[in-house]
Amino acid sequence: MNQDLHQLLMDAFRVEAKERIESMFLNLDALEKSTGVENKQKLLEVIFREAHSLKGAARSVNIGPVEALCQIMESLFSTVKEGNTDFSPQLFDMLHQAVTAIDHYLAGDHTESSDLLEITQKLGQTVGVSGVADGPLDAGAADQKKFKVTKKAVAPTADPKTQTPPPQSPPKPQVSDTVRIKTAKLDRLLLKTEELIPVKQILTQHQEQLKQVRDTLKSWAKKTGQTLPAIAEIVEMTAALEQNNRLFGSMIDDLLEEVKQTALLPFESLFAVLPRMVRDISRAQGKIVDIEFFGQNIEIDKRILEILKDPFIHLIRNAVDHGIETPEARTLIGKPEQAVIRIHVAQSQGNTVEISVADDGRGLDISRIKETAVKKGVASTEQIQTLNDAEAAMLIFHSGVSTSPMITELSGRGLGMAIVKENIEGIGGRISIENLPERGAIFRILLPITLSTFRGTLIYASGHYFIIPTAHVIHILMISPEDVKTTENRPIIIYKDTPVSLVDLAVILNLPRTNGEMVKSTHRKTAHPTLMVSSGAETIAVMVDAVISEQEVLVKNLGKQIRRVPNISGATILGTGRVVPVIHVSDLIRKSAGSAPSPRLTGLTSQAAAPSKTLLIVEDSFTSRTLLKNILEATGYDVHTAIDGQDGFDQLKSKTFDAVISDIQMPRMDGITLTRRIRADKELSDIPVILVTSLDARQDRELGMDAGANAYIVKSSFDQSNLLEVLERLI
Amino acid sequence: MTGPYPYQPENPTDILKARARKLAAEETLTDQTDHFSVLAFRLAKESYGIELRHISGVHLLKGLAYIPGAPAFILGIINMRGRILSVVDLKIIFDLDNDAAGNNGMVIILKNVDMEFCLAADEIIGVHQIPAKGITASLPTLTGIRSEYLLGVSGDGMVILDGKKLLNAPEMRIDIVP
Repeated sequence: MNQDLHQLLMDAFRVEAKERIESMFLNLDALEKSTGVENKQKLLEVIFREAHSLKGAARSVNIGPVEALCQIMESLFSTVKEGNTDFSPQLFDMLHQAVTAIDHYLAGDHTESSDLLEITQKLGQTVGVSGVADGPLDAGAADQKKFKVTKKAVAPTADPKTQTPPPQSPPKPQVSDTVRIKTAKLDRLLLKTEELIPVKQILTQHQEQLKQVRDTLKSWAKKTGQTLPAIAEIVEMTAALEQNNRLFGSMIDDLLEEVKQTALLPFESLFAVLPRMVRDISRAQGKIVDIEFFGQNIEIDKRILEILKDPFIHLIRNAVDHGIETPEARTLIGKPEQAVIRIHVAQSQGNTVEISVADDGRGLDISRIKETAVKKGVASTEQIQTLNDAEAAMLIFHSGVSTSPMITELSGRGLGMAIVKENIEGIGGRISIENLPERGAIFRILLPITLSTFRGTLIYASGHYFIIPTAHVIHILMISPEDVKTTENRPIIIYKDTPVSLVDLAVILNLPRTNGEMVKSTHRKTAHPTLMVSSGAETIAVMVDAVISEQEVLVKNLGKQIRRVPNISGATILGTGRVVPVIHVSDLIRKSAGSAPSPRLTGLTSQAAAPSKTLLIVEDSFTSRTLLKNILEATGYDVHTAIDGQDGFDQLKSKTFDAVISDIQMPRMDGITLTRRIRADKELSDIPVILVTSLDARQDRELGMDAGANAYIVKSSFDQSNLLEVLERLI
Repeated sequence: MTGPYPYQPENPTDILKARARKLAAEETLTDQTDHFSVLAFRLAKESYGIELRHISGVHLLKGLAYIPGAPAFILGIINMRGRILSVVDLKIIFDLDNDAAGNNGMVIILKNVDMEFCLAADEIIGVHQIPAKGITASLPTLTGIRSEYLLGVSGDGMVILDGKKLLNAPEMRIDIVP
């Protein structure tokens, strides 16, 4: 065969095989679950057809082993259809194995066909295809005849060509009303259409400029009593432009909407991988779990489906791994042995879809979540006590908080759920949890159907433009220096009788000024526009240099190189062609609360970045730790934190620091002991140690100095300039 | 319409390992002839070259937006016909003098199947044919991080960068979770 043609055929075959395999998986699963005879017949017919077509396709590209296996499956299905064989769970497992083997075989390089041959043989024996079961298995086309003979013997009337389809599944029309388009082509089409949005915006800008010129000319004419024919022309042109622009704008909007609708896909394609995953994970853990889907035909933007893939894998793994009990445990509390995960998709109002993922396991262990959150420094003990169960459940979305007591292969690292929330919020969705102790957990996800444009507020800070999603902006005020109060050394303002912490965007984002220097202080001499920005229940006040406009924006990612950076969720292109980063509001709020650990930097970064001094703060109180961290970070230090002496010492052994600032009274290992251990350690002995403590006893001071501390600062007399001075002296 | 491919290999680590080995293999100059084409450009008064096959375009650098929180070697992002591309400053990575005139006027777009970014350059010199034999493996003076991304040095002292390594380097993938 011509090599090019073969390649073309193979490409086509792969696409087809992929779809058929997916369909077989889905329908096998449905068949295993279905009860009604009619329904079973229908599903069986579909699988039968898929196996038959795959067999034919495999033959046309000369893949013998796959052809042989499909042949056996086809025979098997026909005997079942005839009522000669019944499906047992073992048979289902074998069929799953068979489809998996085909899948692997086709995805692989065709060398590992032993799985395929093995399952072919096993199935062959089950079906009673003697020719296959007894003889040495040569899965090539040479076996064709044998199969045909055997098949006739087993199921004489099951020839698919002559069989009349059952009435409940009418034959598909020969001419399809759909066309196959490469998804990459569709993506390009969408991208090109989206590029029209900035064009629309810039035309509107031109129109406004032209109107200003017209008005200037008109008032000149009025003032001077003169007139020019050009003025009338301009008036006419402006009116025409305005009209055309309006038309053009709505045409672009319609076109974009149509193109987006074209790129919608049913949820089915997202869910296709899940039954296998559940099957594999639950088998491995000795659990019995079923997964059911409702509303999988509802359609959503293909890009959203792609983004949802990881979150769903995490959610389902999480449910099987943490939520669902072992069959024994379930029996003990009177639940059926088989657990079930139900995924409902429903189109809620307008342009949103609601998805719920519910399991009937043990639910979330709220007390354990709280415990872990405190341990990981996500929240302080005092903060935790104020949380109700629903709020506490949301803590699992913080990285580092996991309810699994053990790290298993699948979960327990506490990262998965953080990714889930991040991905979902990144596309304008929301996730919440309904926890039913001992009865399971329901994750509810609200999503837009299309990745749509949203309203963004364009702001300017320290020479840089940013977009803040308007949905997060509650209010914009002018804040003058006298409105700013200080609590625990942090600036706040009073907004609607509530203290709200105030951050300067340039400071919190470490923005270099155009002249290269960093903005360090939140104290400004004049009034500045300040945005009240909220996410969930939290609100902060963000001070900027100017609020420029509000406009429609379309968020794009930051390119292939930048997958994620803190505080920025993407970027948009303005009408002028200018690229503007979009602020990740919940990151910003977290950072302003000081609970965000300093970013993991790659090896290259730490070498490349300007060498700032690295400090380690060892402090058991969440508040003091945050306070110190904020002060020192604002001054330009790279700050790491440890929650007690032991943690501090471990970090010192694994990373290089320029100085240590430590509390004295701490659990596990106190500051004095830490200082002694540092001095006794060969590699660490030269690091400056500053003890900061509430103890103002001479005895303690002497103890600290004896241990080898370089400085001793008492909290009651503590002010930041004192600390900064000491630090500068020491390093 | 095709959905996400449900293929999950038995052991993805093996596949990833094999891929990593392939990527980590020494780059060889695979030109059939004894010459290969490089785009020559200037960075802080030194001349550098990168093989043409890794380059998808050259443009003026304009409209750069700073990305706070990205590593220092990321100058920012630019709009490339509706797509957003990040710009890498090799001068920071190589620790070169950053005050030279004609600073970062151009960008060279590097691209492979799953990575794409721009390199900032002070000036584009042009396309050169370099005899493969005239390449010395490296200079003893080029040590550390710079030697990581080097293919060699040409007879006339042009530093030839390893485009493949640059594109595949894990350090070049920015994924900083707050």
